Amino acid sequence: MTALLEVRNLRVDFGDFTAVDGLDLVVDAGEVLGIVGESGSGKSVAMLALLGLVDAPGHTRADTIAFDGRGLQHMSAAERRKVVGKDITIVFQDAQASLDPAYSVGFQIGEVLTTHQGLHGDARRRRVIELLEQVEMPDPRRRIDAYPHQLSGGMNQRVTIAMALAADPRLLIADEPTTALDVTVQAQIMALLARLQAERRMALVLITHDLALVAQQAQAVAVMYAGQIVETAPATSLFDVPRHPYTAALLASLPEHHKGARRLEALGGAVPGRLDRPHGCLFAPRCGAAQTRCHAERPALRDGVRCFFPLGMA
Amino acid sequence: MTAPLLQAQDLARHYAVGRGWLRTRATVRALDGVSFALPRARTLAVVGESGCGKSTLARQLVMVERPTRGTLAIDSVDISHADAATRAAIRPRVQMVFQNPLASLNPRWTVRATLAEPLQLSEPALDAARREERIAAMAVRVGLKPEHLARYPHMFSGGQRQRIAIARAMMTSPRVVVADEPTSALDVSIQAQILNLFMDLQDELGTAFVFISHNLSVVEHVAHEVLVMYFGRVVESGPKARLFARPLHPYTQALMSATPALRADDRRVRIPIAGEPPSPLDPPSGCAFRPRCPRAVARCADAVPALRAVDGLQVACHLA
Amino acid sequence: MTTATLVEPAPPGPVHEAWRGFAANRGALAALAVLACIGIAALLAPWLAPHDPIEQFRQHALTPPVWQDGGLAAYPLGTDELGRCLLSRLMHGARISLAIGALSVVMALVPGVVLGLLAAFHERTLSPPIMRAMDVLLALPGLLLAICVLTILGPGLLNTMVAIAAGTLPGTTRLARAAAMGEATKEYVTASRIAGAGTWRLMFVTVLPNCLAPLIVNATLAFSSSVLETAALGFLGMGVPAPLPEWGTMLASARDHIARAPWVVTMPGLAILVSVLAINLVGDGLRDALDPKLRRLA
Repeated sequence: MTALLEVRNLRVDFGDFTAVDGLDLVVDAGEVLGIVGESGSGKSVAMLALLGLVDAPGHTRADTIAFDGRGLQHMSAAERRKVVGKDITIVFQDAQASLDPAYSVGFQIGEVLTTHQGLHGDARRRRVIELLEQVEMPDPRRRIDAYPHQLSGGMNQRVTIAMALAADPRLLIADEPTTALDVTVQAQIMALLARLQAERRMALVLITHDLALVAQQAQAVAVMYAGQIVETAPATSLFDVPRHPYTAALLASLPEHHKGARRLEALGGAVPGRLDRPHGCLFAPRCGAAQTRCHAERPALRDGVRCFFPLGMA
Repeated sequence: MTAPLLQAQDLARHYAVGRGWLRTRATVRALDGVSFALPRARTLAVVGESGCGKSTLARQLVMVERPTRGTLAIDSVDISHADAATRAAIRPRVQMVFQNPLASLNPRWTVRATLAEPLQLSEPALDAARREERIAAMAVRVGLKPEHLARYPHMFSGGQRQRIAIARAMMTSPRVVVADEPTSALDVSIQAQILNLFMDLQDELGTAFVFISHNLSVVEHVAHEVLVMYFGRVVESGPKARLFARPLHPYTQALMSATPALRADDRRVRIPIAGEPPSPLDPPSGCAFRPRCPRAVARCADAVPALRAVDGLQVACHLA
Repeated sequence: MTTATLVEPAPPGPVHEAWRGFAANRGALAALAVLACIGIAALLAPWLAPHDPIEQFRQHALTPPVWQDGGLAAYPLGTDELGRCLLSRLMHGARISLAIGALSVVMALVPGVVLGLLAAFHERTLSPPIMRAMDVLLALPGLLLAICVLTILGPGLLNTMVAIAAGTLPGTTRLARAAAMGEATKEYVTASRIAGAGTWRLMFVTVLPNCLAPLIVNATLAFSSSVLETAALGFLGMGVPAPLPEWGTMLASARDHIARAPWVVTMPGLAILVSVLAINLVGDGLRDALDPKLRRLA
C-alpha cells in the first residue's frame, strides 16, 4: 500500500544556511504523525517546503515529495493549487493572523468551497453553516457573518479548521494549532481534531513543541533538531525508551519528569544558529555522551535514530 | 513571627467601559476580591486562563495601577492607600518579569542601560563605578557574559533575553518578584534553565515569587501555594501537594484533566467543559463558572459562592 | 552553562544595520552622493564660486552657458539679465535653500516632538487642546499659511523659516504622537515604570529613541518640501528679499527672458529639481532602512 505522503531527503537552503536537511517522512492514510521540535528545528519550514510554499531566497530540493503516488515537486503552480488547499490543507498557530480581517469568516470559508467545489449562493451558505457545526462553533448561524476580530482565539481556530476541512482533505497539517490557546480550549480543539480525523480517515501531521500533547494524540513521532530528524519512533516507545540523547534530554527537562525535585535537569547551551553550526553532529556540543567521532562526522539517520551511539544500544 | 512580605486583602479592580456614545458605561470587574499572604522565600502560583484576572492582579501588585477596593501591603507598608511618594519608595521592593522577553526590553538600549535603569532610579546616589560593579555581578549570576552588556536585545535568543529581564528585576534586590508567564514563550529545554534560575535565586536571596502561569506542570514544580482564578475571583487555593492530589472545585478539576500528560498513568479522565469564559460585560448570575460547570445545580445561579475552608483547601463552590 | 565557550562575535549594532539597509538601495546611495556634492558646494560657496553672486557685469548680461555659442569660460553657466554669474548665484542659493530647509525642519521637529509626546502621555488632558491647535494649522494649505505668517512677520530669512516650520509642525506632532502612543502600550515601557521612571523620563529617555525612525523619515521629506516652498515663496516675491540669490526668486525675475535666454530659468529650475529629487530619494532609502517590517530577517 502506498503511503499517503512520502518525502525523501527534503532540503531547504536560505543562501548558505540549511534550514532543513535530509528530511524523510512517511504518513499513511488515517495516521497521526507528531513532529516535535523547538525553535530553530526547522519543523515549520519543512512543512511549508513540502507544500511548495517556501519563496526565494529559500531553495527547496528533495529526492521525492509524493502525495498519493503523484510527485508534488515538479507540478506546475496550477496543478499544485489543486492538491494543496484541497487534498492537503494546513492550519497555523495564530488563527487571527491566518484570517483576513476585512472579510467575514463565512465569506472566507465560502471562498474555499467556491474554489475547490464550485459551490455558490445558498448551497454554499448552507455548507458553510454545516462546516461550522462540525467544528463545534457555538451559534453558527449568527457567527457566519462575524469578523475575525469579533471572535475569540478558540473560535477563530475553529474557523481555520473549518476552512481546512471545507475541501475534504486527505491530509491535514496542523502547525502548533493550540499553542496560543488556553488549556481547556486546547483540549476541546484537540478532541475535535481527533474526532474529525477518525470520522474522515484523514491523516494528521501535528507539529508542536508540546511533548505531552504528542504523547496523547500521535501514533508516530519524529523529533527534529536544527533542521534534521534525529529520531522517529512509535509514540508508545519514544517517550518510554528514547534512543537519541536529545530526545532523552528533552524529556528529562520537563517538570513532570521530576516531580518533587527542586531543580530540573536542564539541557545547557542553545540550538545552533546560522553562525555556529558544528562540523560534526549538530547536537554534539550539548550532548552529555558525545565522543570524538561525534565532533568529526555527521551521523546519518539509521534505523530511526541519527546517532553514532544511540542510547540503550551497545 | 515575621509578617508576610505581600499581603492582599479583598483586592478588586474595576474598569469603566464605554459602550458607545449614548449608552451608559458598563463596569468590567477584572478583579473582584482576591486575598492572599506571601511569606519570604515562598512561591505563590496563580493559575487561570485568559480573562481570569491574573494579569490585572499582577498590575496591582507592582503598583502600575491602584486597586478599586481592598488593601495591599508590601513589607508591612500599606500601599493601596498610600501617596505617590510612599509608593515610589516601595517600588524597588517589588519587581516584575514579563511573558514576552523581547517586548519587555527596550530595543534601543544596551543590556547595560537596561540593567542600570532600576539602580539609577532607586539609588541615585550610587556612583558609576559601583553601579557598574553591581551590573556585572548580576549579569554573571544570571548566566550572561561580560561582552553581552554592550549588545542590544535583538541580538540574543529568547532564553538569554529572559535572563536579562530577570537580572533587571533582581537589580534592586526586591523582596517580591511577580513573574507573569515567564517561560510560556520559551522552548522546553530553555524553560528548564530559567526555572532553575528562579529556584536558585529564591534559595540564595530569599526572594518571594508570585508566579503566574497557565501551565500546570510548571506550576506543580515551582509553587508552594496555588491560587486558581476564574473570572476575577479565586475559586480554589491551597498548598500545592494538596491541591494537585485532589482538587475540589469543578474548574480546577477540568483544568487538570485538560492538561496533556506525558505518562499514561498521570492522565486524568477528561472532564469536558464546553464553551468559553463569559464576557466580562455580561456576567452570569451567581457562580461565574455555572454556565460551563458539569455539576451545576439551581442554587449555583442564585448566589456567588464564598471561599470556605474544606478539607485542607479554600474552595468557592456550593457543592464542595 | 549557557552559551558556547568562545566569545561570540558581536552582531552589527542598529546604526550599522541601518546603514547596510540604506546602502543596499542604489538610488538612495547615488542621491546621497549628489546631496553631499550640493552640500559641499553650499558650504564652500564663498571660496569655490567663481564670482560674487551679487556683482553685476552689465556688459556680459545674458551670456549663454559655456557650451553654447557665445558662451564665456568665465561664466560657466552663463549670466542673468543683470549680468550676475549664474553658477555663483546657484551655489550661494544652495546655502540659502539648504539652510532654510534644515533650520525650518529643526524648528518644526523640536516643538513637534515635545508636543506630540506630551499629547501621547497625557491623552485626556493635553492631547485634545494640542491636537485641535494642530488641526487649526492644518486647515490652511501650507503655502497659504506661509504667506499669512510672512505677511504678519514681514519678509526675511528667519521669518521664512518660521513660516515654513508652521506648515510642517502639525504633521510632525501627529507623527510623534502616533509613534509614542504605539510604543507607550508596550511592555518595556511598563518595565521602566516599574523600575521607577516618572513621566518625563518615560517620554524622552524610554520612548523617544524608539520613535525616531518615522520622525527621521518625516524630517527628510519635510526638508525637501521646505526647499520647494522656499522657492515658491521666492517666486511669489515673498520670503527671502532680493538681491539674495534664492533659487525661486531667480526663477521669478527670469520670467521675462524665457524665450531669449532659457538658461536663466532652466538652471535654477534644475537646481531645485535635482535637490528635491535627491532629498526624496534619500528619504525613501532611509524609510526602507529604518522600517522594521521591511528589514530582511537575519
